[in-house]
Amino acid sequence: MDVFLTALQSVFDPLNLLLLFVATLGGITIGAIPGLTVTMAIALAVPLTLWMDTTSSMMLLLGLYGSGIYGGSVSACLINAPGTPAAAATGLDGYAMAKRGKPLKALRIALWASVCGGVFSIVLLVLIAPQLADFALRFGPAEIAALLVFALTLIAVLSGGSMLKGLFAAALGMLLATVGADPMLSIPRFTFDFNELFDGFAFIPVLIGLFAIAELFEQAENRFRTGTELIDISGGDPKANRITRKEVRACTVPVLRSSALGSFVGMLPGLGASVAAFLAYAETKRTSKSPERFGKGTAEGVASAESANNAVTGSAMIPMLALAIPGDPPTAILLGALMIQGVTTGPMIFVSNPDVVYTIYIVLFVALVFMTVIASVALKPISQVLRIPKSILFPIVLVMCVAGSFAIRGNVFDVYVMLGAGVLGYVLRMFGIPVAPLLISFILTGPFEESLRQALIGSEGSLLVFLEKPIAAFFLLLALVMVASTIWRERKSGALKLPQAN
Amino acid sequence: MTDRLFGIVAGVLSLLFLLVAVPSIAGDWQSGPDARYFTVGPRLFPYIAGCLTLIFSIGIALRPAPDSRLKLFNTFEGRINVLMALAIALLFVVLLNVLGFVVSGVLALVAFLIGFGERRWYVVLPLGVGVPVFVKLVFTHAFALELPSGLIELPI
Repeated sequence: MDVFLTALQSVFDPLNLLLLFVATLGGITIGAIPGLTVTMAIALAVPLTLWMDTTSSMMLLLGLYGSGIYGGSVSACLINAPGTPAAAATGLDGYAMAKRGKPLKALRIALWASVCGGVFSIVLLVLIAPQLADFALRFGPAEIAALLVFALTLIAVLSGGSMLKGLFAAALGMLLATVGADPMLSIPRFTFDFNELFDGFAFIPVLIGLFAIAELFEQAENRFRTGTELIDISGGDPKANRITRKEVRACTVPVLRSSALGSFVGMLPGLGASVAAFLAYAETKRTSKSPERFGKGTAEGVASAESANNAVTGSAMIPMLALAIPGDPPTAILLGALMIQGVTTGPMIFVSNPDVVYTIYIVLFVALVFMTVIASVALKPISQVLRIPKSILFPIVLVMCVAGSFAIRGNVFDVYVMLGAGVLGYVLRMFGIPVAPLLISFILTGPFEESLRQALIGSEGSLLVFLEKPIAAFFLLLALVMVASTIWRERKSGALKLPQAN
Repeated sequence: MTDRLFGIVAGVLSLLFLLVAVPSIAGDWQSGPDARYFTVGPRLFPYIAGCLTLIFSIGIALRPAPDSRLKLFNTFEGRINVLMALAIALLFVVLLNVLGFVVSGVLALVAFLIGFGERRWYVVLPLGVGVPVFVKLVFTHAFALELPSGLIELPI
């Protein structure tokens, strides 16, 4: 209880609250701008946390994360271009509703559904994470290695597109993470006599490059053009823009179901908010008595997509906190930011740093409150940022990227690493290789290598150690089943068939 | 064609990594230096990572996705735009230590804005100068994070 009160006190420090408020406002704004993703915003904010304490850094990053997903719905509804991929499903009905003269109603439904999804997932986080961590305390090196094999396979397989490409990305992430001193014997690997490489590629330049710079190059291809016209939210009949009781009743069950679905998806590494939103949207449409209304501006469509994608934010923290396995790029960045703060996530965090855990719970909740307040009163000015051309925003992003990458260790080498990661990210995107598995495996490789080698040393090199331990064998079997079922599914859908014109 | 090309290139690079780079790691002890205890050396994991990239590269080359039309051959203008963005970013980084963050940032930002079609001087100038100065001030004074000053010391 004392720890909880201390965490509460530090969160409610006026400066920290101000920071969270600014972060939430920034998250909604950045999330609203198509092309500037939540991941990019968090990546750019991490360098600023270097000199902050853990509470302040979590307030900045979680404020951006929680509200950024909702911010995506602003542009999805007003210009039919989702600010974040997670808001793509919201746009299906949100934009149609806005075009029918009810833009404010679409945004209000999106807001309340987001809040419901967020609260649902925070409650789940508080209830499940400690239990999962308690169970994970029984894991030795073999179990941890097997769990990480399973997590990496899951992330690679579920990251969208071809399974082979996802697995390739995860393997490439592993390969890049082997640069630097070997974690057990400190023998340098692939450092080519560069002192800067002795600690390996720094995490922040790599992630800024993979997400922000690669996006910049992709947007540069089309000279940062945005094609759609912005719907003015002050337009339309104010009465028609209010949420009616009938709509609240119609949305209650879809919101609850979508929140549960989104929370479940969020707990699984690799799926993320966009999958959750589309699954929930499809499920609400399937169970609806009038599915023909979907896509034409129905309240249930907006509400289900938004509650599901926001439910991911809290539940994605469950594997990150309890098992140190990030489910998606934003949680991977949060994991890295916690590492920078000297906080190691995983089952022991509930024993060694309970204050950090409570802080995360409280911050997620307070961020939702701030998000509600800001979105209720400031949607009109926020929506105006959609008028700023990308050709102005992205050069500013470049300056921020360079500053952030340099500031980490104070050397230009890291800025070159960022640029290299940007080119790599762009090339991978060009070939349809997902970048998320690369980043997550890049982060997980350190603990994976350590536990694998510890397990092998303990067994004197015998791989049987992974089969003799039931939990380890279970995870490996799950990974195998996952790969086999994906191959079967891809064969069935023809995704792995040889193309005619290749 | 796209996937096949990618798979082949990635496969060759993986093979080079396995045959040239990994064996160059010093001290691969399968059993300790004096063979009294068992340990796993620093080459094991790079071998695993290299083998996996090789296997999946071959997989991508042999089983390309049906929709892998070559986005690489986008419009000529598109490629020029990306190269221009890359060149400006590279120049920014190269000049960092020489001119410092602010001056190289101003040059890069102005080049970027003009290069991508912004011709209004009242947009280019305030943004071009204001953003690097603002970022420098925020990083240095609000977050105590140093940014390169370069050979030209500016009073900010």
